[in-house]
Amino acid sequence: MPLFGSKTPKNPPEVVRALKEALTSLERSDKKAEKAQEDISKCLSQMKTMLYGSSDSDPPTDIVVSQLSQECYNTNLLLLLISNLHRIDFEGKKDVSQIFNNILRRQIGIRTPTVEYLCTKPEILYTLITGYEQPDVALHCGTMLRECARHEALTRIVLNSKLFYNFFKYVEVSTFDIASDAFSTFKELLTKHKGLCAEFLENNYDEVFGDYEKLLNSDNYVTRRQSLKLLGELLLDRHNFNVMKRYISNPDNLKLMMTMLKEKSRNIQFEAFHVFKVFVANPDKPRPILEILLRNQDKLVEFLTRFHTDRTEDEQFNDEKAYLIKQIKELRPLPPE
Amino acid sequence: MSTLNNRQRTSYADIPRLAALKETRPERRHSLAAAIEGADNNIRQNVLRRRASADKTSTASQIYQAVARRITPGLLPPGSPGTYRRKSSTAELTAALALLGRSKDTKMAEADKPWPNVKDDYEIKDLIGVGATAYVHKALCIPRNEMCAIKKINLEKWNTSMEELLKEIQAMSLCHHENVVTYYTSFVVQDELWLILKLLGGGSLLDIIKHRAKSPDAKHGVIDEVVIATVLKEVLKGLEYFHNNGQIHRDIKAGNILLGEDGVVQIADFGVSAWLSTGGDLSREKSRHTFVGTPCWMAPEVMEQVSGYDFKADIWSFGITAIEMVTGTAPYHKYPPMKVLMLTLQNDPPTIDTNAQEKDQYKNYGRGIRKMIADCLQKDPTRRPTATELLKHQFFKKAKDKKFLQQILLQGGPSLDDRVSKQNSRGPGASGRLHRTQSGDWVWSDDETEPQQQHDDSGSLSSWDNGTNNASKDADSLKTESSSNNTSGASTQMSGSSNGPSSAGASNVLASLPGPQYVAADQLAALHLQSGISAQGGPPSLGAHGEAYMAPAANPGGGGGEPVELVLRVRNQRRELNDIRFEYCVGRDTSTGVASELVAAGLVDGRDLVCIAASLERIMEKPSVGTSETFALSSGCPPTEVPDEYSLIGFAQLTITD
Repeated sequence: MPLFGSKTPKNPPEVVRALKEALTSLERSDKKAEKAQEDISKCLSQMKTMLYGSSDSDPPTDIVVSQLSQECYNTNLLLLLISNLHRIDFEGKKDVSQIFNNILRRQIGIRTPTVEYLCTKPEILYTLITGYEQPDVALHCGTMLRECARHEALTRIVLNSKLFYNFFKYVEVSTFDIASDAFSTFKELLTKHKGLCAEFLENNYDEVFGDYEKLLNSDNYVTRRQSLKLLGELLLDRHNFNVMKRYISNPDNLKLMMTMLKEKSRNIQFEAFHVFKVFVANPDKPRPILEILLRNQDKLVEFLTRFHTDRTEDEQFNDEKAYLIKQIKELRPLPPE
Repeated sequence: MSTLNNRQRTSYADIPRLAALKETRPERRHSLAAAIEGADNNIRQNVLRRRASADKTSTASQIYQAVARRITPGLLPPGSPGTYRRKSSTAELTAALALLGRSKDTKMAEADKPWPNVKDDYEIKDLIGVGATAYVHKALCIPRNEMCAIKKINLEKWNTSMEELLKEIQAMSLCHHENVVTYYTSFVVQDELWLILKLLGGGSLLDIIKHRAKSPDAKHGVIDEVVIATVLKEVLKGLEYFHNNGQIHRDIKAGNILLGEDGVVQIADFGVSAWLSTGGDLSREKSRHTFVGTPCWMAPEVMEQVSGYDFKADIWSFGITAIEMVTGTAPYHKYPPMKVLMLTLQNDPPTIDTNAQEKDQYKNYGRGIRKMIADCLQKDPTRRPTATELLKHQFFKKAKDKKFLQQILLQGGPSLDDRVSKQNSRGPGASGRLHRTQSGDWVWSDDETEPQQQHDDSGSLSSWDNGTNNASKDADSLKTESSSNNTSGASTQMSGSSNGPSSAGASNVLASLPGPQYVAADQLAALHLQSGISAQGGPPSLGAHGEAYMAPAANPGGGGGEPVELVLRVRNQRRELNDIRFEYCVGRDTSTGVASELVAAGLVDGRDLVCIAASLERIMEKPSVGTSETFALSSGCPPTEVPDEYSLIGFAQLTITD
């Protein structure tokens, strides 16, 4: 910083250089930390103005934006910003995520240069994921990660990383806003790019659904409810047909859903219904599934008849319920093995 | 193809607040038919057919629906998300002052411990606000030895998606500003979400306005210019921060501005706030197209829903809030929402004289404030100043400091001899009842003697026959369970009521403070809407509201005889039987007044206002214990149910219990 003194840097290379120096000095936490913090705020707001424009300045020009992005790539600034995010002050953290997201959205024709850059620097993505472990940066990292998840190439990197399984931990942390932010990122990663997600779920079925079952059995009401709902969405997405077939062949999964049908929470009951229906509607049910359904045939018919009878306006639900009742009634005893 | 098979889940999302307004983001559910190949074709066809018939409604009816949903408690179950309204600033202030000294001493030592995410670390104290799905308690955070407010949101009753809730909380947690409500942490306790917030002891600006409006000199202006400038300058600082953050609040009004006992002013209730982008921020929308807010405070461009709106919508609401502080109400508060929309769109912008009953009623207010309000209330949003520009307005030169507000609060606050009520705590997920206290407040209380609702362990695997070689069939177990699932809420409440007004119940009545009862402005508006439908709106309906508004202000104990305890047994929107207990004080209450309160509190359907009032009238002609009357509800029952007097389907029962 002594290099610049009172002079404020004006062009992108200067801002990036100043920011880098301030960050390095903050990282070393030398005596001038306070000054560094101040310089960081100044640089960040300048970068923001370059990207967004401001009420008193001209709208941002393409040249400045591309110069700034190029500087960020060349100097590895993004990683430096993200790995020092917890050291930056409250408002600065918000600026960082806004700058990151803005640069990430940049397009030249059909090319997205920042995405290409991030593909060569997966450690940026990894740092963002582990950001969920630090409460004061978790939400900012989440915002940036979800922006990354809009791009298939970046989602692929995250899904293929062992760190993806950390999400099963993050969605259960005790602070609600962090846990549910992690959940929305988790959901985005598993649903945004259909083909990729289906491929991932198929190839990693045992590992993913092994962990997933723990979410369904969580003590936390929100985790249970959210994960059950997502499960329903995943299974009923036609891209995930093979995953669904596999899931609904396992009698343990059926038992779990039948248990959840009777949870105290009506919302959970309802979400469980939407998974349970798939087991029953399966045209070629495996023998163990049929056995359970047959053993509970009368009970199920009675239970479903009384199930959420006040949902009179939801025609789809009522049609489906009627269909399930009919299917279960019509089940014929299995021939002996 | 996949979109074809998606379908908006209308179900019974009785869309309160957020959902109603964010109609643009329907929850989607993949249909069964889409996924299972070879499944019954009927379902698939049904789904497709229904999608085709779901056509778009006109803008006018959209507006109408949005308004109706937004503010008609009658259409909502007693338990939908909504703005919480503190009961009375009286108890609040006194208690807060008493605690002030204590917390200060120890604050330094413990303040650096993080706010815990554990229920038992908080000692729940007085209930300070009740909303539709939320209860707000004062609480002590034990490890930090510091007071806070806990907003408990019942997630089972929250029909909006979790994502919407998360947005509200994120909006809060990404704000650090003296004039924006301080959020500490949030966590899940059974099926409730607990938000830990800074406790503001001074009540809302609306509380102050209502309190002051009672004084005889309020006719020529409720709050003087200097106080207005001081409070609103703080609000502007909060708004400036908000807007610079890329957020719009969308519901700025006196009821959402809170005051601390130290004179701090904070903007609260992020329920409807949204993110918005400026300039080159590509990751956010440029403007919003959702219909949000409270009609009286709503900017014309928000109502029109044509061009979308931006930060300037908050500036309009800010201008209306200034008028509210002068006259005590928003300009068109006495009209039904549709009329408010028309007046706002057709007339010239309101001024402080719009509501004046006589010439020069507000002559004490100078040109500065009038000019400031006129600047904010320009129909063309681009001509309105930004929060930053407004802060430089001449009018705000009058503003004084926090200390000044603190003094004003103390002076203007309700008298200190009001007794502080017995503490009342509510366990997570506990069942309870709403009572109407002598002062006319609706409060929640739970029977401490009542057994904690049983955890439904019977729902475990054992009751399904899942074992591999277990062949026994216990059909009964399922039967009882499924029925107990459906009626557990009702039976708890029924058993409570069969004890009559037990001593536990009576001692639970939270506060017996004299004090005004505030019917939320939007709820009042809802009443207007109801009557607007049946009776062209306007004056004919005013009587009832006036009563709801004024009656409880009367001196309890004075003027009337012994209060009569009554129970209204009626089904809620979930079709569960509820017992609503309340008192009726002959001479103090009127049947229409009480019935309006029931509606305003969201406890009964607005359509039943008249028949409940009529029944009350009849039963109070000769009140004697045990007298009971069953009467038909105007709201009827869902088409699938058959009205039945005995099981109270389409009927309600009113009983005198004491």
